Amino acid sequence: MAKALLYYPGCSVKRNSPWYEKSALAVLEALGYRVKELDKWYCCGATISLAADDVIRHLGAIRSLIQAEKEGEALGTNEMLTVCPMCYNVLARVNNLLKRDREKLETAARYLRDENLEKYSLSTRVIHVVQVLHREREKLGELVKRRLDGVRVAAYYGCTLVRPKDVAVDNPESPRVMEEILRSVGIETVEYPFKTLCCGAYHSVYRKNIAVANSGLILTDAAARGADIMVTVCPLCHYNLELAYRSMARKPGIRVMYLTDLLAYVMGLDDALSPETRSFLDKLREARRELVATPGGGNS
Amino acid sequence: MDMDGFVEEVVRISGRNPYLCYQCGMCSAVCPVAQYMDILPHQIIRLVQMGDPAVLESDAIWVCISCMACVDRCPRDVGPGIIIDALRQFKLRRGAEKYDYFQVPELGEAPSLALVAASRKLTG
Repeated sequence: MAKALLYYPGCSVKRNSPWYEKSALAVLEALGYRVKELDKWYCCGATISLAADDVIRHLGAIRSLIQAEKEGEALGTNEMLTVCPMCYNVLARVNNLLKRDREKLETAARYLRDENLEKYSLSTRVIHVVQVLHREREKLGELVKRRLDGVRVAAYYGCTLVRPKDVAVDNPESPRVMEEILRSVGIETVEYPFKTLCCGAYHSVYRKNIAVANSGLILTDAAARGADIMVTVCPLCHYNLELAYRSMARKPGIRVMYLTDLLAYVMGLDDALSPETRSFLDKLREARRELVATPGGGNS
Repeated sequence: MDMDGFVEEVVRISGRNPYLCYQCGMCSAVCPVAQYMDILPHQIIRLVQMGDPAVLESDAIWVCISCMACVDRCPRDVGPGIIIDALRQFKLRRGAEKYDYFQVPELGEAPSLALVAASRKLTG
């Protein structure tokens, strides 16, 4: 029986990053997952409300957790999949908050009764696609159709996958899950110190200079350490990194793409790739293959 | 704006105790946006300890993006980023508006979550 996942897409994956969704779902399908999008989902709010006296701003997340609980019974799973790490962060934190604070759970239940929603029984488990890929990394390795020898990749985590620590998908100070996923499909990874430095988040629509500076630092440092590609799993990080790249007078030789785009490419899932990503990777692979085949690194 | 009792309200909203802070400066050292702040995170906490309402007029409280870098690393579990968010809340609940939607020309290209996040952090 195919393993099932309840899929919570979120606004930005649907509206701004359709190719990310495509490649992520294609990779999961190739791994044997049945991914079912929730019949109904609500805006997570993008950032969790930190005010201790707040309940109303958690309701969107709670409605989605309840929806997952309801649909999960029929599907035989309690795992709610997110691909956007902002959604992952908010939903997982609200889930944890409700487990700790039963009074808030009751307050929310009283309110949601008017919407004919059952009280949330805390059974939904929020997971991010990186966690699924990591637990399936051995199988990913078996599904490789193309090698990317000589191509070096820097994994960028940003904030929301690793902080706060109670929702971290890995060691928050030195995460390795994305590197382990990449290495399982034969891709060389690059270490650099800024993989959990904030990209500038929503400052790209408020104080753009901050997002451009932080994302620019992340990109140029990884490029200086020999990375050809920077992979991310976040639509906002992706946007900010590209924003910084476009603003640079001297472009570092590094390309930003989603982790699952790269995986889809090495797995030969070409229908899940945008024509630009596909042709970039084809060219890079060709160039590196010549380099690997030429003794002396192709300098002759 | 009536600032009386702002510390009590900030403590209540944040659920954190600013008086535990011993000014080690960890928060300011790990903050990814500290260089854009007029006063640094540990100074914000110090002003809260002293009950100085000038902290509410600092620009720094709007620069913080709640990335949780300081919150996770604070050795006294003060949660500077959580207290900074409560300072914003104090202002927003009294009508402050820090976001002008008409001043953002590239809004249409940015992921919708950027706008949702900015709206949550900068408007009431």
